[in-house]
Parts: sequence; C-alpha cells; structure tokens
Amino acid sequence: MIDRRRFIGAMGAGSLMAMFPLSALAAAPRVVVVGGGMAGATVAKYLRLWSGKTIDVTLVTPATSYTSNIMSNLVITGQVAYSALNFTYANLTKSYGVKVVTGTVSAVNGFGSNAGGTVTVVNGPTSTQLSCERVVLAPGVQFDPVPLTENAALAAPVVHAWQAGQQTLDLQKLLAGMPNGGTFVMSIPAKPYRCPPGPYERACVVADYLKRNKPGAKIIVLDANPGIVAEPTNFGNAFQSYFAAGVLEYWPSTAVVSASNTSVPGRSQSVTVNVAGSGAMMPAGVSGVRTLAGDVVNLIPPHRAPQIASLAGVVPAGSRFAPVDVLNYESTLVRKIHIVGDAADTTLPKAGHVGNQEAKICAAAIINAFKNQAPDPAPTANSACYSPIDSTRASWLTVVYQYDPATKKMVAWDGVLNQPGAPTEAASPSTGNFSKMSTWYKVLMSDSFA
Amino acid sequence: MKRSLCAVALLGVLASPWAQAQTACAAADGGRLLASGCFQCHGTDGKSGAFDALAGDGQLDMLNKLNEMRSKGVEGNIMYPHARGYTSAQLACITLYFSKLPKP
Ligand SMILES: Cc1cc2nc3c(=O)[nH]c(=O)nc-3n(C[C@H](O)[C@H](O)[C@H](O)COP(=O)(O)OP(=O)(O)OC[C@H]3O[C@@H](n4cnc5c(N)ncnc54)[C@H](O)[C@@H]3O)c2cc1C
Ligand code: HEC
Repeated sequence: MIDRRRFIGAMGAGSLMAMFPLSALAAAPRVVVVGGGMAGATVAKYLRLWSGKTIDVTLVTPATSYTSNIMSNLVITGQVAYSALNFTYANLTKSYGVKVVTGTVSAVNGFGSNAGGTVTVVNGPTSTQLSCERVVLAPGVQFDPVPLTENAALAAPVVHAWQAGQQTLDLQKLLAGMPNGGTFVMSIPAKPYRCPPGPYERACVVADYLKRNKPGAKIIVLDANPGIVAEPTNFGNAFQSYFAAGVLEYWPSTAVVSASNTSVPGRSQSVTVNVAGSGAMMPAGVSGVRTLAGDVVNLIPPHRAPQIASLAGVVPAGSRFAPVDVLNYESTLVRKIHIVGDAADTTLPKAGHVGNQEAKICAAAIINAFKNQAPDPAPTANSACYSPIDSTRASWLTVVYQYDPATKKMVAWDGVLNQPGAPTEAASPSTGNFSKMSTWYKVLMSDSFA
Repeated sequence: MKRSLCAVALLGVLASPWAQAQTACAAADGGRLLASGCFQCHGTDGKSGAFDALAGDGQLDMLNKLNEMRSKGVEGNIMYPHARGYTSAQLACITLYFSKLPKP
C-alpha cells in the first residue's frame, strides 16, 4: 500500500491535477428543467438515474403536482376520478434527488456560445435566478385565442380542456348539465396538435355518454383536417355507428373562424365556421361560412410552443414550434438549450408516450455532452396509445421511429422489411384493450414520475 | 441441471427459423437507450409488476419471443407491430441489456 501523503509530496500538486481530470474535481454540472409534465419529469429523472446522480438537476414547474392529460377524456364523462390524473414530484426528489422548485420561468438568458446561462423563476412577488450549464425546456403547448386576436378581451372564453386542470372539471360539469336534445359542438385544429387520436377519442366517449344519458342530444365534430388523423379505421367505424344512432355528426375540412363571447364560457355559445369539406356523416348541402349554436362548445384551438420558448429565442419567426437536433434535442438556434415534448418541432407525434422517450434520448445525450462524448448516433423513439371508443372498449395505436441520417429526421419504421413503415392500429376495439389501457397508464406514469 | 437447461435453449434456437439470431450488441451504452423504449410499458429497467417484467430474463428466450411476434399479423397484439419496428441488431442490444439486469 502506498503512503498517500508521501506520494503526493513526491509528485507535487501539479502532477496530481494531471492524474485526475478537471471534471472529476470541479463541481457537478448543472441542468435546469423547465416544466414538470410528461417530458420534463422524465428528463429530470433520467438525467439523475443515468448519470449516477453526478449531474445536479433542478426541475422548475408552476405547481406541486402535475395533472395528466392522458385519461382526462374519461374524467370529462365522469368515468374516471379527477384524482387519478394527479402526480406529485415527491418520488423524483426522494428516489433520484431531483431538486423541485415551484414557480414559472419568465426568462432564459446567456446560453449559446457561453459556458452556461441563467433561468429566471417567478413565484408570486419573488423572482430568483438559477445558473446552469444546460437548460431543458419542456413547457408543453399554449393555445391560440379564438378568434385570432392580439386583444385578449376580444377573444371568446374557450373551454378547450386540452391542458388538463380546472377546464377538465368545467367541461365535465357542462356535459353533465347539458339538456336532453341538446348539442355539443367540438372542434379539432389542423395538425400538428397534441395527441393525434385524442380529439376523436373525446368525440367517441362524449357521443357514448350522450347516447346513454341525454336522449335526443348529439355531438357535432368540426375537424379542420380533411379526415380522421389517427386510427382512421377504428374511429371511422365508431363514428359511423354513433352517426347511425343519431348522436354524432362529423364535418371534415371545417375550420373555426370565430366564436361568440359569452358570460358563461362553453355554454350556449355560437360558433362560426368555414366548411370546405363534405361527408356522409354531415347534413347535405352544408358549405361555406355557417354559424352553429351549441349548448356546450368545446373548441380546441391551434397550439404553439409556449411564450417562454420564444423568449429563449428557440422558435424561428413564423414558426409555431422549436426546431431541434433529434440526436440530442438541442435547439438548432441556440446551443445548450434543449427542447423536449410537445414544444419541439420534430416528425414525431406530440404525445406523452413520445415525450417520455424524447426525454430519455435528450438525457443520455446531455450526460454524454458533459463527458465530451457524442450522442447515440441511431436513437429510436416510439409512440403507443390506448384510445377508449366507449365506456368499456378501447383501440390502440403503435409505431416505432428510427433516425434517418440522410434527412436527420425520425422516420416510422418496419424493421422486418427494413424500410419506412406506418402506425398500426388495433384490429378492433375490445374490452381487453380497455383494461390494458389502465395498466399502460400506470406504468407510463411511473416511468415518468417515479 | 444448469447445463442441460442451456442445451435445451440452444437446441430451441438452432431448430427455429431464427437460428442466426444476432446476440451481440455494438452500442456504446450496452443497449440501455434502445431498451428504454420498452420502459413505458414494462417499467423502468423492465421491472414492471404490471405487464410482464423483462429484467433478468434470458436473452435467447426474449429474442425468440420477439422474433415470433415480429412475424405475426400486426394487429392482434400491441407487441407485434411494436417488435416489428426494430432491426435484428437493435433487438439483440435490447434483450442483452435486459438479460444482464437482476430479476425484480
Ligand atoms: C385529452 C388528451 C388525451 C391525451 N391522451 C394521450 C394518450 O393517451 N397518450 C399519449 O401518449 N399522449 C396523450 N396526450 C398528449 C399528452 O398529454 C401530451 O403530449 C404530453 O403531456 C406532452 O408532454 P409535455 O411535457 O410536452 O407537456 P405537458 O405534459 O403539458 O407539461 C408541460 C408542463 O410545463 C409547465 N410549464 C409551462 N410553461 C412553464 C414555464 N414558463 N415555467 C415552468 N413550467 C412551465 C406546465 O405547467 C406543465 O406542467 C393527450 C392529451 C390530451 C389533451
Ligand atoms: C405499448 C406498450 C408496450 C411497449 C412499448 C412494449 N411492450 Fe412488450 N408487451 C406489452 C404487452 C401488452 C405485452 C403482453 C402482456 C400480457 O399479455 O400480459 C407485452 C409482452 C412482451 C413480451 C412477452 C413476455 C412473455 O414473457 O411472454 C416480451 C418479451 C416483450 N413484451 C418485450 C418488449 C420489448 C423488448 C419492448 C421494447 C422494445 C417492449 N416489449 C415494449 C406491451 C408493450
């Protein structure tokens, strides 16, 4: 055994430094994660887990718990308890040592060619600054006002319930209070929007609810897209049967122009739309600009990356989302700022399951970057989603994406034929899928939050 | 006892159409990032108590199952199309990673 003191004395301090790389002696590298949703919670967890807790991770998010969008359509129909959407950050702190700060990030400054930058956190009257070497933005989406207006006072008070929270409960109440024979009007924005199957899933579970609880009532689905965006077979079949039962109309290629401003948001509003499509599940002869009245109006406006992403300089002028390198989710505009989840502009669908995987690719790449190593050159991502069609049956969709070095994009893949593939949907909705949906939700949420 | 089990597993592989199933992994992280695409349903590090856990399962056993799933009608089970999205080399990495983890 070597006598340590004599050893150091003989070699001198300089050679000791040479033996231990600077990074081992320097303070732990720091990462601040902005937004504790599906992508943000996952990136915080995996940065700690996969670095062996050698990276200092602070998660900044507005509330002490997260309200899941996934499963929230079944809260609207009263089938699932609102509390089932609630996930705290306690396990991220306890099991992984993630520091959680409650607040809203108002500014992100100094990143790019500098060694690091600062993140400004506002909580009520207090404002604090956090310094770090890299920042990950995972703020989800923000919604356009309806009609498009700079003046918030002119915008109609829209109940989208597309960011779960108070609006989920509001819509649940509006639906429960709907009169027999009433009309529920909902709109779907042009893609890309979060959760491609989500709006069709909502239309189905609302139609099923109306069929069982509100005689004579129906839902009118106004879709800015020319047809059903995801799981067209299963949602198409379900729509046909709800249409045949008189509880659903589906208007494709129909964009919302404006909505009336009312004192009770979502209740007895009228919606003006521009109808450019036609279809077997809509009244004959409807076209052009039309105004519809609804007992409940549930408009899902187009989305964009939240303002914090624009303030950070990662959203190009004229774009809605933040372009990233999908090998490490670093902004293509500002170095050392990473964007994961719905705010990122990629070829991947905006979904919680996908945001979870983007977060893992990002975490692995950041850990490598702190060791001056390149990211994994061939990452895969996957989307999987169970979609309820009514109160007992669900469909599913799944697809795996591979990195294409030629286009630098993620491409849906068939690994047997070794060529581009496409999403696959369940052969038909089933009760077995409905129960697997609960299992999937439980496991996905614990992979993200526990 | 251990030896005969090994022999049985090996025979099974040789007899299957997947005799050339790749078992080595070239990924620098030993397949961890690839395997993390299974964690959403099989739990972090494949330790789920809900759908089947994968941690500590035999590599060849998992590979055989996955290769069989890949060749089946894609709509029957969510795993079939999912397994089909990966190349043989990637499945080798993924199964190697899980096989080296302790059983939950
Ligand atoms: C009805 C519905 C059903 C869905 N069903 C599914 C499904 O079955 N499967 C699926 O995979 N996906 C589903 N999704 C989509 C999924 O919910 C989203 O894609 C996912 O939540 C995106 O994750 P994210 O982390 O990007 O954003 P979010 O989960 O929205 O999290 C963003 C977080 O950032 C916080 N934040 C925002 N700005 C700031 C700031 N300035 N400072 C600090 N924090 C901030 C927000 O408060 C929020 O907590 C569904 C969505 C809806 C609406
Ligand atoms: C969308 C969810 C989902 C994802 C993602 C997923 N699986 Fe599965 N997996 C399932 C389900 C569901 C089953 C069947 C479980 C059952 O029937 O109990 C299954 C079964 C399996 C089985 C068979 C287990 C047995 O002992 O019979 C293996 C092996 C398997 N999965 C491997 C994987 C691997 C490897 C990955 C990642 C490449 C993966 N799975 C990703 C949902 C998923």
